[in-house]
Amino acid sequence: MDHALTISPMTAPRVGRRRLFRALAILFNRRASAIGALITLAFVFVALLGPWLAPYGLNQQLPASSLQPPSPDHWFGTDQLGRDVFSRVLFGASDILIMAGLGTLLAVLLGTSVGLFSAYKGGVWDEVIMRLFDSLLSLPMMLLALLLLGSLSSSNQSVMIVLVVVYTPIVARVVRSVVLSVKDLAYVHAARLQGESLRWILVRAILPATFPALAVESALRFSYAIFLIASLGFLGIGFQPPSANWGMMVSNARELATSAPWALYYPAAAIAVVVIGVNLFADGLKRISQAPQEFSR
Amino acid sequence: MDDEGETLVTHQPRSPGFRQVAVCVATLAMGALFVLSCGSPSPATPQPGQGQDVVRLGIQPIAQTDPALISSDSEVLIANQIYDYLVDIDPQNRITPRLAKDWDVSPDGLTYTFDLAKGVTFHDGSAFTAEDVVWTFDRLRDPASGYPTADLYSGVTGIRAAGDDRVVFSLAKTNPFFLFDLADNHALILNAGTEDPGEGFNGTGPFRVVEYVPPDRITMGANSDYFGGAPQVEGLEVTFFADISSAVEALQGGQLDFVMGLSTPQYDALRQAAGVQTQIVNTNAFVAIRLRMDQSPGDDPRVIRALNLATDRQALFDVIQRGYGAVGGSGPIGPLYADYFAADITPPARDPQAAHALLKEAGYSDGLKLDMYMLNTGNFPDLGAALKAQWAEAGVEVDLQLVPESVYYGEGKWLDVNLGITGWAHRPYPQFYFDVMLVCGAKWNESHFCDPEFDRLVDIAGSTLSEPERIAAYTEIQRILTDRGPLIVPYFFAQFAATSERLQGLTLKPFPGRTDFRTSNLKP
Repeated sequence: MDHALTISPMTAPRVGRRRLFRALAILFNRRASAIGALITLAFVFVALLGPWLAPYGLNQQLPASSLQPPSPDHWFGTDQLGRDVFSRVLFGASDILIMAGLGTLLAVLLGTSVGLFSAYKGGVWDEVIMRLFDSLLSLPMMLLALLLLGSLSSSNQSVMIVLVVVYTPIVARVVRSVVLSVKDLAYVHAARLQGESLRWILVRAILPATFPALAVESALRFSYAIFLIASLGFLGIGFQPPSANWGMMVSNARELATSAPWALYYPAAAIAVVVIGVNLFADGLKRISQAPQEFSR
Repeated sequence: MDDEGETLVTHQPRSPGFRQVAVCVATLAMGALFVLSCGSPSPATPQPGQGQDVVRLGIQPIAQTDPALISSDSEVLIANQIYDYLVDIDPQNRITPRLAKDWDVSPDGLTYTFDLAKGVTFHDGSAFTAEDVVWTFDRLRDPASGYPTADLYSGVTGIRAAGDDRVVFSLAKTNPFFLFDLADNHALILNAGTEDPGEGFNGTGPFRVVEYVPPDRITMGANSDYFGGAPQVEGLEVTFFADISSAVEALQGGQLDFVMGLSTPQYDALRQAAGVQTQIVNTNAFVAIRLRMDQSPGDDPRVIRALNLATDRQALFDVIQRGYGAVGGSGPIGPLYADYFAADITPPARDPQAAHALLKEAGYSDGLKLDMYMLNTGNFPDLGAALKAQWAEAGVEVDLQLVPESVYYGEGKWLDVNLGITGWAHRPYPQFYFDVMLVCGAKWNESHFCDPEFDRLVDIAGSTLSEPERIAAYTEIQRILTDRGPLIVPYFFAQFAATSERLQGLTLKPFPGRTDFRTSNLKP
């Protein structure tokens, strides 16, 4: 992050095509990051187009074909109700990734706003907000999610609220730590002396300094959100059948591990692959953020 | 969580590579193993002094040990080894002697006289007498006790001891199923005056408690003085498993001899497994899909008829039960009840178009939207998903609402919700279902069905001493339920258990908790 602090948003030009290529070069310089980026892209593609790519419906049942092993007709086989596992994995990608993406986006927006405000204002505001977040962070993430869902109805909106409540404090703390390091730098003082408004200082002078850390944090939160959504689905909380939440699919197929392992392993593999992919992608973003000198050349 | 964020900001760059990928995969695998191992207590191992002739059981944890309050299969299984019933029910659903070795019914059907086995002693050495039977049933039928049996025995006007070995029950009105009532799961005979029946475990049964370590295990030794002959094994070592999958693994690993309450997939998997024997028994346990008839939209008979037409019971049976058990109909009398079951009275064949037309006629031309409540355990979620797909073809859109058992039953939700799926346990005779769930004002009448003609027939079936008259009444009852009843019964369950190869002489009963280990033995 030290490197990130050396970026002067006042002087940094907009990221142009050359910088984009440079970032991509750093990302693809290492195979692990490249694989992570490709996996993430592939799943985002599937999430957006999954319902149109799926050969069968989400809850379309072919009773005569229940528990069929993988075949040309059913690439991932069928589950106990005769539903096509491949189609459900595709539908599940839409459910999980879009929900995780939106939840993360909201948490990042809210966390960034609160972190900026808290750090810049300081004093009592900072104390109150941070202690409130500390109290939230003191609870295990899953426990907090379960507590919230226990008092909300089972719906996508409830899960989204959970993601926002769980991740906003984390994002806010990351943003706050960056802002605390930046707000007393000379260019921020200069902006103040020039009579710039608080909004201008926060948004134009300070906020850009948080982007590198935010990019990495967002990617990580995204992967944790996928994991959290799948875990809630596994526990049967927040989602109702016939949802294709991968965690719920794994839970429903637990007893089929020996008789129809495909119903269990494909959704489990989808969770593992996408979480690993996004994590590797986040590592790539981290390396980009830690190479600002190369960027500014 | 906080540390994760700070780490990003302060740590030096590292170079992720394939080694990290491998570490990620390994971590996930270890996590999965950890999750799978959670809730798996170590199965019991024979304790010093115990021989290899100890049967090791893996069952779900118990909460109640007072016989008057037990309800789950596990609780009944434990109690059934420690205590005795007056009369018992065999795997073929017939009444058999236990503490009562013989009985006589007066011609008017109002007096039952039981001759008790002689030389029976409780585990503490005290003698068993008719007073113990009187005390036990007086306790169970006491309206002030709040026990679930108070209603069951409300027709008993008096119980008296006629000497030490004879007990006489007097009834207010004839009850052809009275012997079955006496064999109710709770009717285990206690020592008269027992202060806390939930502790002490002082029964006359074939096994006596050696050690009870809640919530982990209970150890029992054989009662060598058992009046019916000493058990053929040295004892029972019961380990409680919150997740039956863990018990299945322990059975396959040779650490258990008996596991019950298997799901259909578990049973299917174990049928192919080496070193394991499986048992299956058909029961009359069923699930009832019902819409309340006292409020919209179920107050319009066309809606219930449409839901019946939209349901493919055979497909549900094939897919959810995989063909184990029996296909259902419109009421609680299944094929297991033999003469009472009217095989020729069947619900209409599935016809989603006709269902759609009926709904249109009932004013639901844009389709019908309903929330359907059910438990979040067992195969209820699968059943809900399958029904949702079937009913969608008839224009019925269902939102599944899965709720925990504590909410569905504990908070009485099942009696309030408009559309629900409720599981009903096996009973040795069908009258119970009608009395408690279908007659007008019955305490568990979840569908709020009320039909005077139906009630009249239920009364006849439950009181006549003429078997042909009862069969005729049950036939007519099934016709009414099929024509205008509130229930869709997709299937009747089978019960599954698995044993080690060394365990012999065990027969699973339709209510698995009533399975008897007295005559079981272990192959060397």
